[in-house]
Amino acid sequence: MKITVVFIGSLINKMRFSEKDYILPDNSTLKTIIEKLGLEDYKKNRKLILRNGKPIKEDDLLNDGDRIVISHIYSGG
Amino acid sequence: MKGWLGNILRVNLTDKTFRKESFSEEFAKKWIGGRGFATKILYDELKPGIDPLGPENKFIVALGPISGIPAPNTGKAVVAAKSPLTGGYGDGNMGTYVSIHLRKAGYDILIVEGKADSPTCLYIKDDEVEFLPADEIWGKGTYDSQKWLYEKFGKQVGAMTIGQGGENLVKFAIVRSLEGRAGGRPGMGAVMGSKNLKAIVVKGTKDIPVADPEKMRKDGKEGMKEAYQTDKKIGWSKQATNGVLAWCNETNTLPVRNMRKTSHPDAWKIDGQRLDEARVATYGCPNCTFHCGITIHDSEKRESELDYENIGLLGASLEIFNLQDVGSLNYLCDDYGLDTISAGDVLAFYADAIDHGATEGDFKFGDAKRAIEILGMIAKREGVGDILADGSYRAALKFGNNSLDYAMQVKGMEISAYNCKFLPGMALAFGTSPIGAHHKESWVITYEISETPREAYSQQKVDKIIELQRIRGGLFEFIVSCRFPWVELGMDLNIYTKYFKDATGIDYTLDDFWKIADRIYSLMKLFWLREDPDWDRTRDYVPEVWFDPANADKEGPIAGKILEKDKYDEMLTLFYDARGWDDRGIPTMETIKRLDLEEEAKSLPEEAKLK
Ligand code: SF4
Repeated sequence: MKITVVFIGSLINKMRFSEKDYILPDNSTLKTIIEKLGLEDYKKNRKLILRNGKPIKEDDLLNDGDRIVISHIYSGG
Repeated sequence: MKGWLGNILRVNLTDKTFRKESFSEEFAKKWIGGRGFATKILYDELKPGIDPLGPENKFIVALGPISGIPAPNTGKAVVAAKSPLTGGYGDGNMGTYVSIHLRKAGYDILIVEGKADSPTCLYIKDDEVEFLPADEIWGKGTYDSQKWLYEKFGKQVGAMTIGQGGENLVKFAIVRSLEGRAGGRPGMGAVMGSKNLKAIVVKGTKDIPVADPEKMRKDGKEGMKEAYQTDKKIGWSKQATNGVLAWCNETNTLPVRNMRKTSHPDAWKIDGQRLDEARVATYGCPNCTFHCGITIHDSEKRESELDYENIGLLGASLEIFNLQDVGSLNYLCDDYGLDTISAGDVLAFYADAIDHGATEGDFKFGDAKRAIEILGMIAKREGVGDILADGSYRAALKFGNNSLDYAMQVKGMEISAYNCKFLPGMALAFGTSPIGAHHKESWVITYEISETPREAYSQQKVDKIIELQRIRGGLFEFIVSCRFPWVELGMDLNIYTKYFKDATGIDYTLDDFWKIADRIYSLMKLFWLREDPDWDRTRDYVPEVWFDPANADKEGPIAGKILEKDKYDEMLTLFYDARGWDDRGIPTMETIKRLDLEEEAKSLPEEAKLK
């Protein structure tokens, strides 16, 4: 399946891309992609992950066409 | 008394007099500073019904017990007065060296009364006060005015000034300081203008006595270092507040086309990454170790300092997706001394009103050139600019044709850059913001989207709104400090009880602070009630267009979704119950007693009885 990963904020500089498609085996979870990207510390570093604009847990299965957005935990300035 | 100087400087511009007054420790402990001081003083000293732009109004600069002391982001000041935009209590929180110098001159509070007979620059140097002519800079923008002030007084002063917007009584004129700092959205610049007060310059040279100087120095220094290191680690200031633009676009919360749309394919052109790439300088407030003022060259090669609110409303909401053009609009707002949030909303409202046939005109969404011209007309009150200068609420009343439905304002003040057509919690946060719609009071969007069902109208959201109002609209506004070390970097709120104790010697808990925050919010409501004894809950409603199914997104993740008015109203009841307010949104007698506001309640007119 194909999923799209989008970075918002300073992670773009660290990861060196802002949007990329990934082909993943079926039964992949959010954890699969977190490990692939080396972002295990995302919570500690105040990052938030949404799928198609909605919350997602690490064990949730990904679906073909999902858009995973990884950003700073914005708090409204 | 330690931490506070215990002094008020009261200046009268009409007869050019001044006097130093003291306040009691009881007053200090009950109201702490900043917004707390300003609300109490304006409530006590202003007669209900006075003209906000008349000499009876008072312009206040109020500081807190850690203002001016080296600790994270303490270089802020609250400016306050009765608002010409809303008719209620109004204030703003701005970065300025006035906070440091006024305290070093020996004052926690400056109250300016009356009206000067000609343009005046108020110069405060320790115990001395001078009323200097400011004719040379009257009619000039804030950049030239600031330059003139620096030439005259040197750079080692605190200075605030207004532009043509304030002089011409634009109801959303702000006060400016330093390169890009501005404050006082509810028309505080117009209040200065109405007094012929072009600038305030302060030079203070004394020490600020604190209870435990050594610990204050150590804790303050450690906090500033922690803020610096945390920011470096998480990289927040790289895109600073504008990081959120791309996120709003992803989550369908971006204000596009007068908030009729929630995202736009061109939003990336003005997002945080593009802003960072265009950066030519970075500015910030005093005592801050992670400056967030990202500055670019605008289309005329002038430096323009941008943040998300500017870009969201002068860019996305106007469908102007060129950063340099947005920079120009922002530069002009800063130079004229206009609030960028209201200016963006007012321009978007005007384009929308023309679109919907409510009025005639030649302004269209996306037209940066005409937007620049209209901004100038607003600042000078020329042509249609004279109508728009009164804000979108009053302009809508003039245009008629149901245009009030899509004037994006609450209580007369324009809504910050978040589109809440399908965000019940944030809509309620705007609705219940006590000075009119402002994101500084409570901001719950991330919580609402990531930790609750977005469509819920729940107690859980209400509790979060109140929790954040106590912190953002309470603590940071009365202790007078920038909230970003906590809100963006995640620093522990208990640092503020620690600094407070270092400065004053008083051991307040966060719960003590929340009670003070509730007291201030409730007094603001009494201020409204005294102005308008017919006050009712509809004043806490958001614009009709957010309840209109015809305005729901036609496509995308929130297609067909819109706020539901009956459910919003039920959530408002939950909010009032949690705050101890009646069904009008006014504190009950029991709440008044719990918050020690019985004396204040005595001045309410008979017909505005408390329940
Ligand atoms: S983070 Fe930004 S707004 Fe806050 S004190 Fe620093 S420069 Fe000022």
